[in-house]
Amino acid sequence: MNKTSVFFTCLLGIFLSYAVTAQESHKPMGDVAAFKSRLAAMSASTNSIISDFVQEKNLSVLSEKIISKGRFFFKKENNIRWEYTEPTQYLIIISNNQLFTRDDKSQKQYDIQSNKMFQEMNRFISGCIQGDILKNDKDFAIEYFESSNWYYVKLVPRAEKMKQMLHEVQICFDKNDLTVSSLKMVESGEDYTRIDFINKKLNTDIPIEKFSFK
Amino acid sequence: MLLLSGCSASLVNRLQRLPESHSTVNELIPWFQGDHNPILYKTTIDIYQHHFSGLMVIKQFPEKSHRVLFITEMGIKIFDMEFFSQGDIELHYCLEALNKRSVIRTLKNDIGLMIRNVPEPDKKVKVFADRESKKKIIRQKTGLVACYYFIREDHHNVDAIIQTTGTGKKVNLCFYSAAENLIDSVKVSHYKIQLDIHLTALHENKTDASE
Repeated sequence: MNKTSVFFTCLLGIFLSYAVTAQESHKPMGDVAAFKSRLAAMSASTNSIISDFVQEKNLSVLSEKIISKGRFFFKKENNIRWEYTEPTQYLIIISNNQLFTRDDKSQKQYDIQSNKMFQEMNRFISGCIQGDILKNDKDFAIEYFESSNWYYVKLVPRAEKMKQMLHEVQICFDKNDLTVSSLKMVESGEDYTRIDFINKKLNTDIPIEKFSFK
Repeated sequence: MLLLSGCSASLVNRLQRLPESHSTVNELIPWFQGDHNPILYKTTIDIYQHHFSGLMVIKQFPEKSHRVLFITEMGIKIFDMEFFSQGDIELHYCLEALNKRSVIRTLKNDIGLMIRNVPEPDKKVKVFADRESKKKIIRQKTGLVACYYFIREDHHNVDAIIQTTGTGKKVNLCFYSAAENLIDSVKVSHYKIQLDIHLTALHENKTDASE
């Protein structure tokens, strides 16, 4: 290993130590009511979100992480578009109580109202993005934390059936603008899916056609 | 990409018996072996009216097992199975909606055939030639279940498998490859039930080996 590599390895080590320390420095949130109030105000004033995302799937049996990338669109009320571009192209649109999926082979459309699982999924995704999920303490035990830069909320499903699929959900909010910075869904064991939202743009004009099934 | 024309025509009429000395079982190289194979496969599974789309992870472990996980694009785990070289199969997880005994049994059979994809070396085989394509076919029977392995012209790999039961053809697997020992795609189709599995290798691995 040459000197440059040693330097960068040390630098990476310091950064990782800092990241771990930062992770550990989450403390119970001081004023949960104020956080909820700010989040509600932010949610009310946000009509649209466009963001790139990086999804990391960690499977405990694999040393490799599966990385997916794409673009996310949200427009009030409840119009959601996930555009996966890597490693494969895949599209999910949720709009007008319909769920639409398209891969390179086929496209499908489902009525969300007719399927309880889709209803739950829609409520969950929309709730995470808009923060409404924090009102749902009937289905989740909710804990609130904060660090200097982030609000961090941990949701643990109460129903045993849901726990088998989803052990806990961690949502990280940027303290500056209260947007969701990352969403981590932890399954049983060490498996998890983490979605980082980057390059977020709020309240830009998104044509409603972006959420139509063509 | 190799196009298999031999997957659908009547099987028995096509077989011409060859002496067992023509068996090349010990020379066959199974797909999905070794480090050079991709881990990720874009996958669709169609079971009757249900369509599942996502990524299949196929990872070989040194202790001679293959772990096969199917996850949706959004990261939701559909199933997680482990196939041991001695033939045992362990189901580690299956999404409740799919966790029906008949579905699991079929998936174990199909994916097990796909992972193993060569005759078992210590079991008796019969060797045939396909009258149409002149390809070599190796048959291995276990009770009423028979597997017909269609050997590629280079004699090193299998390019199709037809599994039959006492009542006729059950399932058909086709392996497509442009380069030696490197799988491009696999199609699994059933004759009697509506079940199709299609895998396409993502050769440019979009994984981050950060651990």
